[in-house]
Amino acid sequence: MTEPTTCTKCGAVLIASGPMAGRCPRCLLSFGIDDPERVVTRGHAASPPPTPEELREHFPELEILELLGAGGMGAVYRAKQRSLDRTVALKVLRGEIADDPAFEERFHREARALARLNHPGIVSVFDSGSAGPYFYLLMEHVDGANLRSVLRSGELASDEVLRLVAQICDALQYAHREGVVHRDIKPENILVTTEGIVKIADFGLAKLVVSGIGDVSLTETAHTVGTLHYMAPEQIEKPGSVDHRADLYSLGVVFYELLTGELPLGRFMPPSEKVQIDVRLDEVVLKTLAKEPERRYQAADDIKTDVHRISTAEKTKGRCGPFRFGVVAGKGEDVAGVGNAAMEMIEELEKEEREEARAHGARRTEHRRERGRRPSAAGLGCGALGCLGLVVLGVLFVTPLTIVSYGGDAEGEGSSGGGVMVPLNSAHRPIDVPAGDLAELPTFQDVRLRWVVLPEEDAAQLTRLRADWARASSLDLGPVREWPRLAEPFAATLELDPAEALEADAILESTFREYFFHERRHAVRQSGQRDSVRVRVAAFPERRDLIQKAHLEMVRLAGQKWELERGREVLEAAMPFGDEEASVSVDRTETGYFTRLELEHSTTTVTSAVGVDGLEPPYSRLFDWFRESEE
Amino acid sequence: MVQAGSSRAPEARAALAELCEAYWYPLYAFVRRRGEDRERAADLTQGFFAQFIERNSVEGADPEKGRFRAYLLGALKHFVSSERSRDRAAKRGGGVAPLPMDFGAADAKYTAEPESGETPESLFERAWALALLERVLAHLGTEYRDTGRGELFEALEGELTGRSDGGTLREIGAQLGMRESAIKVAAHRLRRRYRQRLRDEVAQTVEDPAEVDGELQALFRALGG
Repeated sequence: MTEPTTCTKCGAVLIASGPMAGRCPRCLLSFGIDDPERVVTRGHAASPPPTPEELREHFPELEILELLGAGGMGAVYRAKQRSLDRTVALKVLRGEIADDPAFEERFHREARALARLNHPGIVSVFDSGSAGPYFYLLMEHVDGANLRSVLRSGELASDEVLRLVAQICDALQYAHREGVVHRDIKPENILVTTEGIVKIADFGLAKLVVSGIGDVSLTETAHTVGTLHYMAPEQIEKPGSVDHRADLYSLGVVFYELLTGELPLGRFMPPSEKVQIDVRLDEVVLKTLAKEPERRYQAADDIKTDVHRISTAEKTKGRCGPFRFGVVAGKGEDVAGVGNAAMEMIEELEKEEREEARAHGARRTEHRRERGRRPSAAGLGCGALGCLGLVVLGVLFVTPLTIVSYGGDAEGEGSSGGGVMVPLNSAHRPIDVPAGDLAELPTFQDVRLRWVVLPEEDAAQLTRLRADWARASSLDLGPVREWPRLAEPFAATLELDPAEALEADAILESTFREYFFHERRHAVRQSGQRDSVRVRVAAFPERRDLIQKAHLEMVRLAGQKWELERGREVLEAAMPFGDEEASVSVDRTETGYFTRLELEHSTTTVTSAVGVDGLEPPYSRLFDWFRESEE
Repeated sequence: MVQAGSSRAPEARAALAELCEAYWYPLYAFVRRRGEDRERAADLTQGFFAQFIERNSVEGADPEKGRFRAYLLGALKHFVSSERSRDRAAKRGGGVAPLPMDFGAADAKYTAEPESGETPESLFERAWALALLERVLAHLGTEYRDTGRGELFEALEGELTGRSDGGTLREIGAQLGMRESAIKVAAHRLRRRYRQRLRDEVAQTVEDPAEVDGELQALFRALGG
């Protein structure tokens, strides 16, 4: 019996016995004293909000129950609407705001716009008007708390943050479509019901205030300093001419705060460097926080789409690093061999699938696609096609933001043109570099396959895997190096080094179109010294189940063979099911172009061939196939 | 002064009795700490309340002292000293117990109090603070149970009391089948409701609502703050 006798929060002695045993009296009492949510009028010294008694005579139809809170714009009361016997929220605007003679007309106009908003994620406005000296809004009463209060209970897990952000996006998208900009998105204005449903309050009210204050500066009037942190840059500079993208910026601030517990001030770090979250969220958050509205997301829906994409993939907090692996062939190597191997695997899988379908008597439309024997216009042979197929099969869990560096000394260790295994240290800095001169690679046929191993995993396993690969694909990958012992599961990626970036782009596109993908998004971005072309493609929906199946098997395998409980966790964490995207970037560096292919999901067959017994079909067959080709 | 004692209406009298019922132990402990034995302390406590409720008045109350707690203690001290000069045997409140008082339990509680040289006054204040908290928590629990939220209250009570055996909010939420944000909202509301009840409870014992904070501070200090 070693029950704690002092409070873990304040150190006071806990009550020893009786009905209150084990409780901390000091904490209990201090709740009544320290009231972070006490009603305070913020901003400059404003008149205190009217008491419920003072309001009573002006609102005979309401029973005003209590003051819920007061802020820059006014005070909110909980009230009962007698006629309908329902609880409502009464917002009474601050007298100072309404001093402007033009206010009344503007107020009625805005209130009408607000009353038109009808969305589950937006606090409804029932009525508005003036009563005595007060301008008021009668609103839906939300049984819950605002996000600020929720945040005080400690940070939310990232999946919950994503859920909330997605809901905020829905509400914003709706309002923006209706032509209403909120202008003051911040945790205080985002309510969460007792069911965890988001409701945004005070739509458009900021505009009312801002346009009403004439030459008084924003900071001095309705807005507290805290609010400024949530404002888009253009909103501070030119408050009169903001559009819906200002809300998206504010949402970005809220998003950042929800994830990290901090505001994105100054030169802030990407969220993933502060907390353990999916690194892909960085891109979303940072894009939302772009200074120029043009560079931001242009619609709340787009944010939601990206958030959804990531949240469906996110199983845990991405605690462990990326799990990557792949294989790359060097210049002059038998890429065709690799390609054929991949083709075989694909066919095998498809055959399996067909047989399964037949066995179940399922009527399935076969998605027969012409496969890999037809060179593309760019002179792409079946090898390259197959190679890409292989990549798709082989690249696992690639996390897009991992940076693989190039350049440096070749050490002359690889056989001529042979791929060299490149272990990277934890800072993702290459310890070794690829052999060969990238600039010399003339065609896509010279696809360079190379191991890139990020810090993680046992050397022997990698070495064996690589050797298996080499045998299976008839490739000479050069000598096997000594591997440092790695702390975490390994990762790998694929780099293609064509002479012509655009050609590669075209090839990749057509290849993926033919084999795995049906859609492509293309974005060109210029950054620094690089010309970077990003191609994003989405997988054929009809292949997805197959891919997922293989994925699952991979997870099982990995758990069995390479690790360890943790390994399984890592794999699951990194499994981007439902994520249809892959990206290919073609970068130009001083030494030439290189293309980086990043697939956010793939199948597992390649690794199934690592010599694991006890696999179940269809993977056992693949395994057998690999065995045979080894011999 | 005290809301409960400010009127002679029957309901006010009932309210006063209820308050006394909630706070008689601190008085008993005070008398004990003054050196009275068990039996004598029980007698005095009972006698005091019999007289106090019977009078149901603010006679002798110092209007400057707006706090029921202080007033009650002052009245008790006065009662005890005047009792001393009387024939104690004659004074037994006519054998009618003014309040249900379990002196057995009270004595067990008293003997469990730390012996750390606490003065009768500080023991009284501390015991008062605890009685207050116990009452607030009990009422809050009843309120939650009456509205079908007993399970939620049990699960979240640690959020108030500093007990952390219930796991994180997220875990608690998972057990109750609630989303993380929903459980956090619930926790926030529980704290808010608790705060309100605590302040309401204290407000019952002070004359002016503005004194609530002062009384809370005083009780906080009494807890060894």
